[in-house]
Amino acid sequence: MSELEIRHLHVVYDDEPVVKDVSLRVPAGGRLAILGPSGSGKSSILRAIAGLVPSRGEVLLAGSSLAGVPTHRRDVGLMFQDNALFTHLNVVDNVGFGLRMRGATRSRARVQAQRFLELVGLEHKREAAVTDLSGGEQQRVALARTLAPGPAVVLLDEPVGALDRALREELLVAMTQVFDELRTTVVMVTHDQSEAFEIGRDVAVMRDGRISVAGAAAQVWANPQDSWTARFLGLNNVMEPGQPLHAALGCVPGVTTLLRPSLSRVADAGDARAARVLTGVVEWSRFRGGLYRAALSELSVGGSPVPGARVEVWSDRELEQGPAIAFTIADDDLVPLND
Amino acid sequence: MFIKPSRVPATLAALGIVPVLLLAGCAGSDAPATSSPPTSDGPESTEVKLLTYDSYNISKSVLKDFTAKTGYEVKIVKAEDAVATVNRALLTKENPEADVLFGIDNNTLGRALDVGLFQPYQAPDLAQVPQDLQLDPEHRVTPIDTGDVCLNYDRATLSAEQAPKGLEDLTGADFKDDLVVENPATSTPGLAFLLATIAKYGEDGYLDYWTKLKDNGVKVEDSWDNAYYKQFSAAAKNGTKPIVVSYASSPAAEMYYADPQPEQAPTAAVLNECYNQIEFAGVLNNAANPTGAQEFINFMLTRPYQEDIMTTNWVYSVLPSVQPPAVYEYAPAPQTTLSIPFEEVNQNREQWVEDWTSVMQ
Amino acid sequence: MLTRAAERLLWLLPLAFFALFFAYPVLNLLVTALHPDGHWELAVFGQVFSDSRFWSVLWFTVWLAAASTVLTLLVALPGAWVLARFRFWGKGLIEALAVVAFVMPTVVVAAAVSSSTERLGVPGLSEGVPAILLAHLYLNVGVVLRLVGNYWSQLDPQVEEAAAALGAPPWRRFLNVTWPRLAPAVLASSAIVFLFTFTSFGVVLILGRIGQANLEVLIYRKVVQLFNLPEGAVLAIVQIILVAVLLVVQSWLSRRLETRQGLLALPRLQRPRTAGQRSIVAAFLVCSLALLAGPIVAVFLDAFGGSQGWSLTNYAALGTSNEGTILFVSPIEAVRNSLVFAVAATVIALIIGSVVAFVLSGRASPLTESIWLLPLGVSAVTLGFGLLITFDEPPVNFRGSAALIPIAQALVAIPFVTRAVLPTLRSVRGNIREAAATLGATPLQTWRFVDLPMIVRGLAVAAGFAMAISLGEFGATVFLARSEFPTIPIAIYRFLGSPGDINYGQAMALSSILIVVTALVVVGTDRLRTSARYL
Repeated sequence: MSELEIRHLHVVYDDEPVVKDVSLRVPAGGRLAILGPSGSGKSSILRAIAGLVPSRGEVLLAGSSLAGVPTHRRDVGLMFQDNALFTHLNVVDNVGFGLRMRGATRSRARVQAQRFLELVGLEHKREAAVTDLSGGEQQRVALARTLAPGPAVVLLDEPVGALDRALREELLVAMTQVFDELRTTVVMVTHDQSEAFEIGRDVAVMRDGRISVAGAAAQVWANPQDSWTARFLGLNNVMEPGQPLHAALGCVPGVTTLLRPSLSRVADAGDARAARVLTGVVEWSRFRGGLYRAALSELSVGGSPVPGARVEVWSDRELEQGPAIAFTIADDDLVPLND
Repeated sequence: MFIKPSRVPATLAALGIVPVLLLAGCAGSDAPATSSPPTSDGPESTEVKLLTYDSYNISKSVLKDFTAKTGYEVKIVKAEDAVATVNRALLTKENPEADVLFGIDNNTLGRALDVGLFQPYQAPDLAQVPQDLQLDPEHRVTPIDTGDVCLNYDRATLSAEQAPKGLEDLTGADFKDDLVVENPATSTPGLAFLLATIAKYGEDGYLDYWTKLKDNGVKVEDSWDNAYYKQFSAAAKNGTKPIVVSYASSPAAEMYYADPQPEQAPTAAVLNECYNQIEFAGVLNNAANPTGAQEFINFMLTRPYQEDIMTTNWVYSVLPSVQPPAVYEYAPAPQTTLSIPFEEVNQNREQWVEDWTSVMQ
Repeated sequence: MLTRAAERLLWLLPLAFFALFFAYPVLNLLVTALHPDGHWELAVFGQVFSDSRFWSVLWFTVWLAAASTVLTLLVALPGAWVLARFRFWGKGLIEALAVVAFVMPTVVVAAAVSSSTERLGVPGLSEGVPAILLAHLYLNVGVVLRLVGNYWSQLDPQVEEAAAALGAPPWRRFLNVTWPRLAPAVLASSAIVFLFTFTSFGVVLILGRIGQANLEVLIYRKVVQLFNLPEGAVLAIVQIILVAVLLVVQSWLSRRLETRQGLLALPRLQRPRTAGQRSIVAAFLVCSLALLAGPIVAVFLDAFGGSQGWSLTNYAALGTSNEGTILFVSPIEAVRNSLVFAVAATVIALIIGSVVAFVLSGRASPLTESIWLLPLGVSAVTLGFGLLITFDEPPVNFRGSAALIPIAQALVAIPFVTRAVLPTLRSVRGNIREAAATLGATPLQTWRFVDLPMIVRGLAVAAGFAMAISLGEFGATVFLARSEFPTIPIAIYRFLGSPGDINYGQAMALSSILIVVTALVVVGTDRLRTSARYL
């Protein structure tokens, strides 16, 4: 497993720049998730690393440049969004394909492939036609096929994209286990933030061909850098300068500020007069992703009403409707943004 | 009407597409040996190919004599009836399928001579053939035999009294669905019969006559072979037509082949309003083996051949010295014949046949 | 992977082939028609158009094609419904028989129809329009069964059930729900059947009564019987134009079919449950077996049964050649010739057809694609006539050799090859190849282990079709085959046109051989396709 680094990468499709000056580094055995909406250019980064599209800039694998190296000699494994399985081959021969291309005999390739089939839990389907498999099974074959030749780096393009929720969870868990076991260097591309934070030790968020924020997963989560990234991660309490709430909470003037939604509840609404206490009435509440998400309106800060403002709060317990409830606001609940 | 060699440059001019021209040129130079059929053995060939019609027959022993005398072996290529045979030769004029063609007759000669289907050749024995049979002064074709195209009828169905006396009778209700004729577009006896009707009813009247024949249920076959052996009740197993366009000599042939010999021939010819036919042979232009072809034409005018065809093809010899065998007593000569001058036939044949086709369709 | 420049170069091969063997002969036809007497004139066109026979033949051609299409639809649509909705024993057999019928040589079909109708004691059906209609039905019923049947099976039956729940009686369900959704498929298959029967040649030539002619037969008669090349050329040009118009209509209708949405990926077939359903399926089995297998059985009965009971006389006669017979060579040589020509034609068609498919599988506009997929051979007579008058003189003289026969047969087969190969090529294109590269496959390995095995299936089907078409090709071959090398269909035609039991018997014996070879080729390659999965 090797370190992967890309420096100042540019990709142009039909005169349209889709990747603009992207630099990233994944340490050996590291896992980077590139998160971004569709069309942000994330797949193009993978294709450029694999040498499938012409690109400008540098791609370094274990410190040596891949410039001029054709795809088949780059030693990268790419798992395609639609799997791209060989429909003329059965399951085990799909998985053994990369080994055969590296000179293994058919029987050796099959033995090796068997290991990877066991890893993804498909050993009982080894002789099946890939067209007879379910969507989840096909994706597991594609994963095993990508891993089997032991590539220096594994690139995953929306690896669980087409699956239903249960299958997705199952495959994500299986994948992290496999990656941990093999200490694989992984770059994954996804549009789903929960996927990105589940697989990626590092996360990079992409927007319009550029990286808007990158770093360790927890760090990106804690500090989304700009309001677009914050909103893309599902953090919706972005306060712009001039908004009544911005001033009421005492944010740094002129700096767009994010109010984190996981606020601490104050048991007694009597303290509501304290300067850093926010009170409001639950307008609606929904259970989603293990948390209750509620919208508060009729807000007041330190007892003085902030007309028209509204915030989102996340809580592990359902917030009762009716009377106003209160939250304290700590310093690190307010995150300054760059825009 | 026929396209002259000038068609090629005209085509190329019309193309105006350079790549096509280049390609055509390339293909031409890639295939240098295509000017003669690759299956023939070149000028040294010991094989003579004869293109003729489907009902042609010749005794094996006679052909063996020819091979013994000249060293050439005869291969027979059969097309359909004679008009189709000639058309086939015309279509493959540049690369003939044979060296010599036999079966073209006085009525089909015109077009073939115009476009140069044959090369001139004067056989030594031609002098013995009566002058009036030698229709081509340039001797591109050599007369081989003559015959008379007449109506024949099945004596098992029709007595001599009941039989038609001539063309006019055929339109009558007595002979509804009784007649089978050959297609003049493909068959020389068919063409001769059409010419007989034109001679009798004139250019203005013959189509009306044929309309009446059509209404009376005339059956048209593409070849004499099919008309006689598929439809004629006296010759075909499931034949239903008691009257057929055939030859004056046909009853003699029926007698010759009948076993046991009957009292009288099972068929008879209507000896009125027959049409005379002369059959020719010629050396094809671009023939692979013209010498062998000439040898075969020489041979066709010799006594053994001329005698043989009288009982194989049932035609008369062109040599006055060759007398018909005894069985010909069952084939009396026609009493009246119709004819149209050779030149007039040459000029109008295609139009007449096309008009006939339009009416019969 | 090829660069753009290399793909352009690749185009040259099919372009050159079509320019030389299709465009050049067509231009030659034009010159023959417009330049008959050494100068340019429109006189021959005037001559043809003022002839009432031309108009009556044209009317007959249209009428015959329309009647054949309607008859085929009437017979095949109920069958298509049965195939679309039910799963039953014998279904595979019927489908296989329909495919075999579609590629069955027209000459054999003509022989089979006259033989089977005479055997049934309905001689009125053995000749003329009824016989032609029957032969057209036999040849084309598979087109409708397959095309409409497949489409129908993909229409969700729940929509009809929904209509029923909304209170629509069966006839309204058919009229207001099923028919509007099915119509594109019915129209598209009608267009194909109309096109095929509009250009029918062998069937009309053999089964038509004297004087009965459609355009194809008229062209043949003008050229071969009347040696009127200019008028033949005018008719050929008229035919080319009419066929081109029909092809445009047909490809437009088929394209419309492809863009329809909301189809089921997997058809829901059920076993017939009620007594009514069971009797419908049984009736379908009986009728389609009678129609599709009956004529074949009749050919075999005639081939083995002479006047003296069962024997192999007819087959034994095929091995002999004597001077008295109508073929220059022994009939068994026609079998050999047919196989040699068909193999050569298949190779040519596979090469040209897959190059066309390869280039089309990249970037191609829908228009380019339709043009290349046009079946040139629909008017085989025009093709044969054009080649005949073009390549018999310098600079290109092929007439002395047999080379033109496989070339003509390949021209007929190429669009079928392209159609069969294109979908598999498209499935290989794109990221399947990229996947192989990321797994370490060199371009050569990718070709060997990915492209080739995937295309082989398409190629096998294409080869089977090309071979069957070449084996049975008649309209073009009849112009080009010299007496030294007749093909089986030519020999059958000559035998059928000659009197006598032994000639008829030999025609039937040869037909039976052609049936067996054609069926083996088509069904065999279909097998190959399914077993190639684990290649």
